Amino acid sequence: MKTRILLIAFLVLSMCGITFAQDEEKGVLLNVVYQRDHSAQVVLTATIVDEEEEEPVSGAVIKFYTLADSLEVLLGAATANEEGVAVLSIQEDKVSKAADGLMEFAVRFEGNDTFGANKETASWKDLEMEINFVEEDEQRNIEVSLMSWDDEGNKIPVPEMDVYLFAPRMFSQLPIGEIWIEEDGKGRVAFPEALPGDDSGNIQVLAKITDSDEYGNYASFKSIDWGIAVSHEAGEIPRSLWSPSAPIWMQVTFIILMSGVWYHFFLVIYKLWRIKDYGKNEEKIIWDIDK
Amino acid sequence: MNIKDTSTSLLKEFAPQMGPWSWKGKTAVVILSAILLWGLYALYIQVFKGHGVTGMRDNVVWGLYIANFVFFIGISYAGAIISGILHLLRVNWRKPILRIAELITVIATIIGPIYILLCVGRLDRLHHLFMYGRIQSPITWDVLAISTYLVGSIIFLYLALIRDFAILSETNEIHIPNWRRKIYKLLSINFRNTPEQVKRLKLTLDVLSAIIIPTAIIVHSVLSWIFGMTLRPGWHSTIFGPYFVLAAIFSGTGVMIIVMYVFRNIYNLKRYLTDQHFRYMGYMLIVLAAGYGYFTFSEYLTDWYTSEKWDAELIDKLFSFEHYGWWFYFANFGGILVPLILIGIPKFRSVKTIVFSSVVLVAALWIKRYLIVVPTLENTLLPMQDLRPEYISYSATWVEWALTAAGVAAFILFFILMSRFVPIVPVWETSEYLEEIKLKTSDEKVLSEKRAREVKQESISVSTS
Repeated sequence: MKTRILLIAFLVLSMCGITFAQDEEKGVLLNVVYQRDHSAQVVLTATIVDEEEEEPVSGAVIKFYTLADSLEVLLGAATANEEGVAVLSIQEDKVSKAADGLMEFAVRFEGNDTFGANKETASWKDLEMEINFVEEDEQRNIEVSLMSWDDEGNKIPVPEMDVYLFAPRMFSQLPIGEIWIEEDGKGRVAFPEALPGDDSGNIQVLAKITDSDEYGNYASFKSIDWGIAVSHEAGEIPRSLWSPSAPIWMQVTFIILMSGVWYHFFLVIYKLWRIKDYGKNEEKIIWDIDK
Repeated sequence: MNIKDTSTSLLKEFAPQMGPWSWKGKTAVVILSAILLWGLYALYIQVFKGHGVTGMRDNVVWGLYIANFVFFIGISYAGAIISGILHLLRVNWRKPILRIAELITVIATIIGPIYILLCVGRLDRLHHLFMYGRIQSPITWDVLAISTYLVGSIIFLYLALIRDFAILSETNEIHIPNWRRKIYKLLSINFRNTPEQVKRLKLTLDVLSAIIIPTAIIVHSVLSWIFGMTLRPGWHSTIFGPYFVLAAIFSGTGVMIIVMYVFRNIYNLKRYLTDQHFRYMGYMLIVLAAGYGYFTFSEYLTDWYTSEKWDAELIDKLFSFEHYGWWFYFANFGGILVPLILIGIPKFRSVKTIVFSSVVLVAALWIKRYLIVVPTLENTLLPMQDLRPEYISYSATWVEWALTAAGVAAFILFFILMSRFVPIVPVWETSEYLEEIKLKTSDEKVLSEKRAREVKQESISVSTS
């Protein structure tokens, strides 16, 4: 009887413990950002933070879904870093789109010992960006047109939008202009003068839409040979470590210096040999030599 | 001259240092060996765990090891200057301090480059430096210059030791074990002081003195060019060659004075390492401190005045008390002003103040080497991603400190062991020196007596007339 009571008490306490543990689980906040980069990759960035303390939840596994006819199709999973950011990069064609270009996404965190599960959905519309280089009256221009689709899948212009232009350099993207897209879905800005390009004058122009509520982040690029041709071929630098041989003057100086010093070292060693020979007939040190 | 008698009496006087170990000697060896073992343990950790156990990272790729390397190569200058220049100038008072100078050169030139080996990874590829080294690389110049300097210094030390080896192999005045006597005999290469041997030995010493001086200058210039030929703030300077050479002679002379003082007290060598020696070395320090101060001022003034972006950042860091300010002021003011004031003003000048100044300047110049190496590397020139503080700021780990302490311990231990093998004061040269003084004194006495007689006679003749 006593054993049964103890067993029941244990079970009740265990259940309470589970209940308490469940009660202790914290909530999380999820946020997702859409980005379509210039290489036609879709990059989904989810951020997960502690609901109460707003601290990043590092190590959380986030699953990314695309919604096709209200069905969730798994795109992939990523683990949140120290800043609570999980990034998934996928090919554009894996994302389901409606006829009007609408893309719906869901991100899920299935919970762990500390945090409870959560889900967040978001949607963006796809668009088509075209970059053209137009020369009129000796004026060179960059023209950007943005198109989207209506419910029946017909192309329609995307008006009233800021597009930012950059020229990628070695360590950063050089801002070269900003275009306001008019009602007809087109905008234009003068091409900057005297912009250095590669050895044929090619310049890559990167056009970006950033933080749009409707379209997210979108980027596209196109090249044109309107830059100043700059030859990046390094001339011959004889003293460089990668040159086939050192300059002649350096070799000559080196050989003279080293052979001069080492000649004297060998001379001294030879003299020592002679000193040894001169003393072989003497038994003792001759002390009165200096008298 | 009776060099034989003087040599014999000197040998008898130096015998205790070559005899059985005193308890103080044993204690010193045990402590130094323990430090050396600690260093070896640190080396074991570094070899098996990799350079991640040091404070060096992709950005700050040089640290304590390179500072130690530059420091040890610097102090090796003592031998080249004291032995080489003073030998060529036939300065007689150099003779008792010759051996200390030459030993400093050889020991420091052996220990210094070891720090390079500790600094580089993949020692299994070290031979590639000789197989595929490019003449246009300052690193290759450095390797060849230092190895040449080491060979020259060892030959120079050996040349100066031959006559003492001959005396030690022959003498019966002090007890020398047979095995040791055999080694002395072998190393004395039949030197019997014949006229031909003396002539050739003097000639070889002259030749090597003349060669070792430019070699030493080239070695330290090449070392400075490794820094100077790099487009980095604080390094890319045209005066780095002579600046390094001067700093090296300065620190070498400082170490020389400290070693002289230590051995003078341990082995009671006041008769040979006299106050006059310290005074003359002190005068050298004044000249060197003034020259070094001038170079330092010139170097920082030009960097500060041009205010080029990277140089200005470095200067700010060096002068700021939040970064390297205390170290910088100690290295560049303490190390220069203390010798100038304490030795330059006759009222303060004494053996103890000269030694104290030397200790200060040696510490200052070690810090100076650290300040040349590390702060420059902490200034990133290229944009960096993932800028964690430990990637930009260098902080030496216990492994590096252990190996630094082991280097200093090895230096002292080598010295103690060498002083057990050969007298720390050269017997033959010092005998010559003492005999010359005796002769000079007796000549002066004869001259003064003669002069007194002449004066007396003159006064008699004047009074008679």
